Formats: sequence, structure tokens, C-alpha cells
Amino acid sequence: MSATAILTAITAVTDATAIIAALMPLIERQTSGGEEVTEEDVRQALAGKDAALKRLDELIAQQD
Amino acid sequence: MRHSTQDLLYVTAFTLILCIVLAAGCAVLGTSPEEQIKRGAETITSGANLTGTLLQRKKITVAQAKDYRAMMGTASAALDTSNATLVACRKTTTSTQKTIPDPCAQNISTDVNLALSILTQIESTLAAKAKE
Repeated sequence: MSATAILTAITAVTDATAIIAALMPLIERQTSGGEEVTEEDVRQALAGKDAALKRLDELIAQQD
Repeated sequence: MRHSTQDLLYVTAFTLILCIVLAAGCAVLGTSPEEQIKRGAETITSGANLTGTLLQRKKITVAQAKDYRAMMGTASAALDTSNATLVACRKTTTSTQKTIPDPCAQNISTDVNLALSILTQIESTLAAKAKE
């Protein structure tokens, strides 16, 4: 096997690994249909943080 | 069929560029804007709860609690704005989280990244206070 052939083989393996690694997040996002964050999920999370901040405001006011 | 060294170099260079583009694209696409906003909101919720707990236990002063509250308020407003922009963008473009490329990701990334960086700082500060 020539040096060029070895280099080509190494490059092919390295590139394939890099491509798969790069594609994994995309593949996960495309296949994780059941875990998709809905508009309602986001709305609830935002409402939850507003409620938590309000509780903190009340606590600060009590201790101030 | 024999390939010249120059051909191999072109193929290698092209493949590497493709990898870089894919990696950059996937880094953006890996987490949807909805997920980022939700994660940011949840971080504020836990941050606000922890701030309250630390205040009650006298591990932080009222002035410190007010400072953290103000920072979380800034992040909170950024997330609210980002979500409003995102919802409007989804309607305008009829896109979803699975649309590639996501036309709405770039619009909100600056605000969300700002909010997340503020929250990361608050989170680490509060965690250190909790350990004291």
C-alpha cells in the first residue's frame, strides 16, 4: 500500500467521523419528535419564571 | 482509475470545508429557539427560588437580592421579547422547529444568548453563596 493510499484511507475515516459527529445534533433534533418544545411549553415556562420573580419581589419587600 | 495528488487534495479540502459548514450549521440547529427560551425561563425560575431561599437564610443581604432580581429581570425581559419575536416569526414564515434552515433562529439568538450569559453568571454566583 502506498503512502498516498494510506493517507487517503486515514482522511476518509477522519472525515466520515467528523461528518457523523457534526450531523448528530441535527439527527437528534429531527428524530426527537416526542420531545419537541411546544409554544405552550414555552408559555408555561415563561409564566413560571414570572411567578417565581413575583414571589421573590414579595419576599424582598417583606425583609426590606 | 488513478487519481493525481492534486485531485486528492481537492477532495480532502472540499470534505473538510463541508465538515466545517455542517458543524457550524448543526451547532445552531442543535437546540431550537423554543428550547433555548424555555431553558432560560426555567433557569430564572430556579434562580429566583434560590435567591429567595438564600435571603431567608440570611446568606445574602436584601441589597444583594435586589441586585440579582434586577439582573434576572433584564434576562426575563429579553426572553419575553425573544419569544414574542419568535412566535411572530413562526406565523410569518410558517416555519417550525424542524424547518431547516430555521429562518427564526438567527432573529432571536442575540437576545437569548445575552439572557443566558447573564443567567449563567447569576447561577454560578448563587451556587457559590449556597455553599458558604
